Parts: sequence; C-alpha cells; structure tokens
Amino acid sequence: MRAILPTMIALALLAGFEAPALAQAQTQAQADCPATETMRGGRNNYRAEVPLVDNLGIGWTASGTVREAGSCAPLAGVTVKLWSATDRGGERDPSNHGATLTDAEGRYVMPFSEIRPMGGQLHIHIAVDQPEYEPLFLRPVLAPGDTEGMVVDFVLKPTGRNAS
Amino acid sequence: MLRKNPWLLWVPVILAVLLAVASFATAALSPLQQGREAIWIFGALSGVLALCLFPIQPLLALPGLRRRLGNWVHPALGGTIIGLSVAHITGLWLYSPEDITDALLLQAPTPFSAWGLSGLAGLVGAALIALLRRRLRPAIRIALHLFLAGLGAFAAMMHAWLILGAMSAASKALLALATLLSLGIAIQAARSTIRARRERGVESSRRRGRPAGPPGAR
Repeated sequence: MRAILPTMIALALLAGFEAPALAQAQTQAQADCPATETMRGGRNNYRAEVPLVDNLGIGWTASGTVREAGSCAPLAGVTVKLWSATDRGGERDPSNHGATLTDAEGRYVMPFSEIRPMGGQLHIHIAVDQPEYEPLFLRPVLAPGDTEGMVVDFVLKPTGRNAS
Repeated sequence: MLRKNPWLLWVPVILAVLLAVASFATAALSPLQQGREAIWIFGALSGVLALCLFPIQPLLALPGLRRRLGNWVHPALGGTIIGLSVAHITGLWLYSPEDITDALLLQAPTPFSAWGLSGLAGLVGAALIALLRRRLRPAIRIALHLFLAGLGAFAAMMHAWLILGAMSAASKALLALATLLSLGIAIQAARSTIRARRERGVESSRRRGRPAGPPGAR
C-alpha cells in the first residue's frame, strides 16, 4: 500500500516529461511530411488513360490536399486519377473513371454520384502516376459518416525526373 | 412426438425453404443490383444462394427425411453448395480479377476474404470426409463431417456478415440463427444414430471383433 503512492507520483512525473517529447515528435513528423504509402488493392481496376473531367456525377465529393514529402509544400498541377463503383456500375465502367488537377494550394476536388459498395466495401480509388513522383495508389474506405464525401490528403515523393 | 406425427419432420424443412426464398429474393431485388453487370450479379448471387441453402442442408441428413426423400438429396445439395461457392469466386473473378486474386492469395485489404476462403475449405473438407465413407468408422466420420461443416458454415457466415452488399443484416442474422438450429438438430440426430449403432453392437463387433459394451455405454 505504501509503495503505491510514490509509484503513482513517479508515473505522473514520467508522463509529464513524456508528453512534451511526444508532441514534439509528432510536430517533427508533420514537418517531415513522410510520403504516403500505397494501400493494398489500391491499383485494382486502374485505367492508365483517363480523361480530365469536371465530375463523375453529383451528390458526393472526394477532395484533399496533395503535398511534397520532406518540404510539405502543396503541389499544384498534379494529375489525380479517381475511380469507384457508383450507381452507374462497377469500377470497370469507364464512366466511373476520371482525373482532375490540383490547384495552386495543392487541392483537388472530384464530385461523384452515389458511391456503391464493390467487393463488399464502400471505397474509392485514388492514383497518381506521373514521372515526377513515385507512383501512389490509394483505396480509402468510407466511414459510416462519409455520406456527403470524404477528405483524402496525401504526400508524394518526388523522383527528380521531369515529365517527358 | 415424431413417431406419432411424422409430418412434424417437414416443419423445419418448410421454414428453412421459406427463409431461403425470402433471403434470396431480397438480395436479388436489392436496389444495389441496378447498374451492375450481369457477371457481377451472377457471382454475388451465387454466394448468396449458397448461404441461403445452409439451414436446409443439415435437415436433409436426418434419418426420417433420408428415408422419405432418398439418400442422394443431402449429398446432392452439399455438392450444389460447393458448386455455388466456386461459381461465386469465378463470377467475381471474371468481373474484377485483381480483387479476387488478392483475396485468394490472402493479400486483400478486406477482412472478410479470409473468412470466405476458410468457409469454403471447411465445406470441401466436410464433403471429402463424406466421400471417405468406407475408410472411417461411422462415429468418427459423422463427427468429423459435422465439425468441418459447422466450422465452414460459421466462417462463411462471418464472411457474409462483414460484407456490405445486397443482403440485409436481418436476413444474414436469420440465416445464421436458422443454420445453428438446423446443425443442432442434425447433431442430436447423429448422436442418437451413433448410440443406437453402439447398442446394437454393430460397430464394435465389426471393427474390433469383440462383443459390444454394456447397453447404454457411450
């Protein structure tokens, strides 16, 4: 019984010292902007040639900010390819594939029509595969609250190559 | 009760068939089917139908129903369920080969893919045990068959439960409950069959060449 109080005080002190260190580490990680990793199945039903479109329907919106690994700088003019199963059909349907460009703040927006489950989950696909960056394929799953849309921010790793 | 009213045996069968028809119909008529390609609908509904047949299958193995329907019905429906599972995988593979290849290689991002594979493994195992009819002692064969079939059905139900698709949560829950009840009935029946065989001494005298134990021994 007597040992409990000092132990608790020691733990509280440790926690007090640990907390700022942890917060600092997180800030550091944010500042470093590590590149987002490709997700399992992210490339499935990918199409290389997709048109730049204003939208893939209306009613639901995928959006986000694209940044550069390391510098964290927003990347403008990146081609973001998106596809998903919708009320028009599955992921194989060409009408469910489209691309958009990021603006000066690195933001992309793609309106969709109703997202439908395919393969048992409500999810979308996002791809960036241009020579300047390491290819990235994402497969975010919609949370129950994502009825209006979802925000998917990601970080690209530059390859040092230029577009040919 | 059953001896006096043999028609009572049909009550669970009829209930199971009605549940199967209702569950399949709600999935087939789901608004989600609109806009899907034919091969996708075929692949998805093959799996749904296999699941809908689960509660019926154990009942068809009951001795009373075997006598009336014929011994071939239970194995035939078992083969149909496995065939439908294969059609389910094939149909979905034809629609989205990469997704299904991931699932078969256990590389899929979806947690239910491995449940589906384990389900099929259990059901195929149960079928193989049934095919080894003459090589295993009846008590062991029946116990293994029920164990593998039960395990396969459980995994397939978990697979279905985690999937967001055309089946409603209510029909999945009802099918799971009905399958559990059917399996319970089949296990009870199997136990009394095995006990009756032992009491008659069929097993002990044939297999071990010595007389059976005292009546009622298990």
